[in-house]
Amino acid sequence: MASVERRAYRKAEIATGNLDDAMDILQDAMYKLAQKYAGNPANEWGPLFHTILQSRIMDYHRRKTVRNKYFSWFSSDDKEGDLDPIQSAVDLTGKSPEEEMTQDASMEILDGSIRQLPARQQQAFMFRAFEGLDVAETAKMMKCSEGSVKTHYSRALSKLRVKLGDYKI
Amino acid sequence: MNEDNEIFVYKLRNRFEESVKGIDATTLSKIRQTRAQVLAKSKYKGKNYLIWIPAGAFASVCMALLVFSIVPQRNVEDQTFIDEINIISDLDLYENLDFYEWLEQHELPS
Repeated sequence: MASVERRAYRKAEIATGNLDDAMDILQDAMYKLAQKYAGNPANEWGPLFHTILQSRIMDYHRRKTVRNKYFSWFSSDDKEGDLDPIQSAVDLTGKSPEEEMTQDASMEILDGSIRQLPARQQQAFMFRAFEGLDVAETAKMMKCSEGSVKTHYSRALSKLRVKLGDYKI
Repeated sequence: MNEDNEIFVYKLRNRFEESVKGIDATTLSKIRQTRAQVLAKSKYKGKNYLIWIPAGAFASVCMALLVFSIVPQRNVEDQTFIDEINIISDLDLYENLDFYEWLEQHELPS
């Protein structure tokens, strides 16, 4: 299960963009697996774990959407709020864009691009591309039709190709 | 899926696998700790039913004490009730009712 956990953590990290949230999601998924499916055969744990994980990630996205709506009612029209201090900070390292394209940086770009995908497209992409599941297996995991999987995956790939096209992955 | 897409996906998957292998030691330690916590928690929860064994035994003892403390009293009450029935059902009394009425009227000691 160790490799499954690592992959799960990375997927949660990509989906949330936050280390603590990713760890919380991983913990929830582990707990649910241990609580509900400990009696299942060991070869089923991997797929079950990924299904639970995806379900937790979807819950996270739903909660985030609700939270954003709630806070948008109370947020002021202050234009200073639009300024991202990290984006506007001076780069003290003085690295050129080419130098920034290190392995970590390109992974961050990839993470960010996947994170920007709609939740279902993200889900389909992770199952198909990262886990190597076929359309039928992905449809089963996502509890939707094979046609929907094809659509979500195709749209996800198109968007990623546009966003990552200029970068050397 | 066309060949371009296949290559693209292959590259993305490789990058993902690399990032999985490159998870830092601190995070790996956290993951291990989380797993240990979850397992400990679920084991404890799984054995919750053991709590009911002493609780059940205690309840049984209490129930037994309650039953045994009530049953003898009921036996005494039952015996008294049976005695009363016996007195009421004493046929001699009913047969001599006239005599007892006469005794009462003449205030003779019974």
